[in-house]
Amino acid sequence: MNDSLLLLKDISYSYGKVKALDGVNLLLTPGVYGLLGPNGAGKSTLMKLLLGFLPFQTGEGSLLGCDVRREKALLRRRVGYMPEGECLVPEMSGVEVTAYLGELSGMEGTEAMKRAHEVLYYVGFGEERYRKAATYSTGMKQKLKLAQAIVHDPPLLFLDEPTSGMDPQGRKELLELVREMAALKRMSILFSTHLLPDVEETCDRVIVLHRGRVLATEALSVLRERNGDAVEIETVGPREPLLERLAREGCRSAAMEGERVRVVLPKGLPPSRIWTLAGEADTPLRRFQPVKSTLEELFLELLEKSDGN
Amino acid sequence: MEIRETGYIPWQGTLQESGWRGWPIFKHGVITVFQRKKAKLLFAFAALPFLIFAVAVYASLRPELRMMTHMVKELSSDLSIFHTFYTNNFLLFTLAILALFSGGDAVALDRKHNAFPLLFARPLSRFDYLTGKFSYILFYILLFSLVPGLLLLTIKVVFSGSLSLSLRLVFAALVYPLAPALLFGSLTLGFSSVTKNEHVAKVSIFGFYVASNILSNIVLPGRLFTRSNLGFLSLQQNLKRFGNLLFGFGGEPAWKGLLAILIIFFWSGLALWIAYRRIGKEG
Repeated sequence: MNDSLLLLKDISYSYGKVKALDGVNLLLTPGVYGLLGPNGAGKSTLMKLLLGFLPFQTGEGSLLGCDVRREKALLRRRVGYMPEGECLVPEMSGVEVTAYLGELSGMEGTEAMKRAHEVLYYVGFGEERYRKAATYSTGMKQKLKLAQAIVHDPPLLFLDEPTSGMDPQGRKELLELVREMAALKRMSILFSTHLLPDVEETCDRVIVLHRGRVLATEALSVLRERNGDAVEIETVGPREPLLERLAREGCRSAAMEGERVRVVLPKGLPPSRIWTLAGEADTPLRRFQPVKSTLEELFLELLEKSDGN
Repeated sequence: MEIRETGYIPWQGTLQESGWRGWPIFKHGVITVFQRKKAKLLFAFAALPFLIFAVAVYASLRPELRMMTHMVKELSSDLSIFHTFYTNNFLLFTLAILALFSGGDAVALDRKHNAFPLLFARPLSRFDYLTGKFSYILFYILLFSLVPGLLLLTIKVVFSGSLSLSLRLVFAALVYPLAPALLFGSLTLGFSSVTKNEHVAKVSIFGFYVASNILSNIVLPGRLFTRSNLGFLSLQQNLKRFGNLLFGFGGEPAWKGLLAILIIFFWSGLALWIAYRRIGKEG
């Protein structure tokens, strides 16, 4: 499929006896994807395989039309990677790091230096770009890592835990940059994180990995729709009669802060049904507020279903 | 730090697809080493043999200074002058110091700061990385061995007014500097790749050089070993023996010179193999 961003067929990978990826099949079109999964789900292994850091054990794949197994150099020219954790040489300044890595990507020296200034300015560096990386805060280091990943203007960007360790303001700024790049629709993004709100803010589609398997690859809106509506309610008086009736209709409910209860309706059941059931149970409602299911709830539900199976 | 008002600007250029990928590493390495605090002092120190031998070459060519050639046996012939220049203890020691100064941190620093994922996410292979690092160490070693050798040859041609140089002299002057460059460069890379601490790498390179000399100088009384045979343990002695073979000095059989270069190749090969294995699998 020529217009596909990523196509993986039956990818498995084991570290000794531990299976990190187990028969992964993926077909992604260009877009912004959140790669979700608990620790040990296989997110990092998948990224490392796609970048060619790990050899393929089974299966095959193509990324941006390049054979992931055989065209490593070509692929790496077209991909930007922002690794997790410390990886910057502190003796180098921001502009040196960015220009140096730009040149390693295949940019001509002067052009790499010019572009380094441009992208550093874009991510929010002023005169700081001439300072050594050792003097940077965590937020600045993360932004520098983002700048080096986009210096050669790649069509695909891998972000591995990009907001890790950042303060709220820095996190907000970085997510704003990612959203802006995503909005241009020039660059596809694979955003690996365990911070679900980050994905909610930036991505339109998610890939959920669990125990080396892909549980879902869907647009966030579809995932929400599939999981039905949710309503927060508060009753006057005892709420148990109403909750029993709701349970019989297939609703799931969870106690929230104070007297509030979150009710997740099964697909096809309109929220107005809660009023009817409240009337039948003789339980007046003090609060009735339709809410969107958070990604966290959807994510946990997927994991629960998977564990149940 | 405020985010810039202007949005993301796409890059309009094209990426180079051919050429040596280690070039940016070489360029960055040369500049970084040159900018180090003590670099100029070390370079001045390393240039001393050249200055002394430039005077020697000049003296050997002036009739009024001919008497000096009778007093200093190293001035007796061109081969002797160049042999002494290349194989003197001071120059060899300085080249070893230059190697550890320029490349002691070459791989260690990248390992220490976990920079491999950042580097190898680029179209860079382990081979490109290694040759890039190796090349700038070689650059500095050759800058103070091969380049002065060529300058000495030029001085000789200029002051003698004749282009008639012995073929052996030219060949030896061009080939010999490659041996210390290969040996010190590869050992530096090897040691730098086995530790994350650049200081440990530098001390190890220095220690290995000095220890090999000390070990070879220990005279063990016995039937199996003689001082001459133990010389093969010494990096310095092997370089000297190879020099003796190329310049035709020392009165030693040719096999000793050949064995010396084989030993140099062995150490270099081993060090480069270790470095290659230690560099991240990402490449």
